[in-house]
Amino acid sequence: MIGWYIAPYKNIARTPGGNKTKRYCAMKDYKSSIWADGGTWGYTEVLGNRAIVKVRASEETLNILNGVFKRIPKDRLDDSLSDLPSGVKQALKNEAIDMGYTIAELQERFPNDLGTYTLKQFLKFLATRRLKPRYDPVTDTVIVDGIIQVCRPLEDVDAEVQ
Amino acid sequence: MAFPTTGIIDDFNRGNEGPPLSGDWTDGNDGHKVVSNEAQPETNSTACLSFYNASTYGADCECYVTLADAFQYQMACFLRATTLVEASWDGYEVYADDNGSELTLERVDNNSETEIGTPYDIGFDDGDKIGIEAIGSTIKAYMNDGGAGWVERVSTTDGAHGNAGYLGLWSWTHDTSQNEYDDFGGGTIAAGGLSIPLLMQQMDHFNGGFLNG
Repeated sequence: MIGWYIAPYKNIARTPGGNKTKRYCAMKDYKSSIWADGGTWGYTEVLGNRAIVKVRASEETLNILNGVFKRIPKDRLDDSLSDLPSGVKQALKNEAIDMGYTIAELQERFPNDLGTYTLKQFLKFLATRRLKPRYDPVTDTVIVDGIIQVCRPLEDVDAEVQ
Repeated sequence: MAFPTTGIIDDFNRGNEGPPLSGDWTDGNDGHKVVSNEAQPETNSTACLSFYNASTYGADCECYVTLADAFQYQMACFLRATTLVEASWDGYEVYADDNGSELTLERVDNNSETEIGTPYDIGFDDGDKIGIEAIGSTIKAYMNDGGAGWVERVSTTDGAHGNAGYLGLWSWTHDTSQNEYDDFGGGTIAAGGLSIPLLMQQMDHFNGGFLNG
């Protein structure tokens, strides 16, 4: 089964003892379950220190992931959002705003009701940009506040996980 | 396409020296040194970073190294490094984590590492080789496990850093004497997969003319 998620990035010590923090997509925490299903996952880092992740795994594993990450309520990029309840569509918009996109950007890209668009159109908007991280050695933290960088194409993620 | 397509750049076969490894290397805050014809981290329990400064390679390029002595360490080789300054470099790394038994790809932004692609679970033994290839926005990690031959283990796409840059080494260990590397190699990948040095050799063989055919 296929599931699309919004997953956060997590920090982890790159070396034993905590020297040098690095980032990874939190979906990796479930690699054992996903691989045990013969599945896989692919992702693109997006704004807000998050990733859009496509997962292929068993229904049981996806149910576990549903309790940890935000599940996108459609499974195929060409799925229409027309049958989503108003509350779900608003939640998708709220997620984009929480990531860092403005209401004006949302309205410019989606001038009509979100139900008139597809999952691909919405996720490509979420993958419009991300910010360049930097390492602060004083605090041993990764700060994501740099210049705009390109996101990995959504089509690459979709093709990678079939 | 076969991996690698380029030759060894530094086999460390010389008298003990460093850090740095030689005049062809630039170290970060801590680097590497040559001991008994192999490269060792400069210090314990500290990230050690060394850029090969003799040339930049790419944009399509590769880098690889032999893990001559592997013991509970973290080690990486990298390419497309944008500067010789540790605090601000960008690039891509293949990262061997013997503590976590993982081979991963990382994107480096301002000396900050972010994993890209999905990891490959494997332990590391003396003599294993790791490598990284960047062709356009396709980044791949390779491993030669126990001399079995190079196998692609991780593949992903990332368009953040697409220019030519430096190659280099990164490592961290509890014990520098048990964390040694050998046969550092890599270079620019020419169109068609042939290394630029190999093409030049073919031209010399035919008295400097281009191959016809």
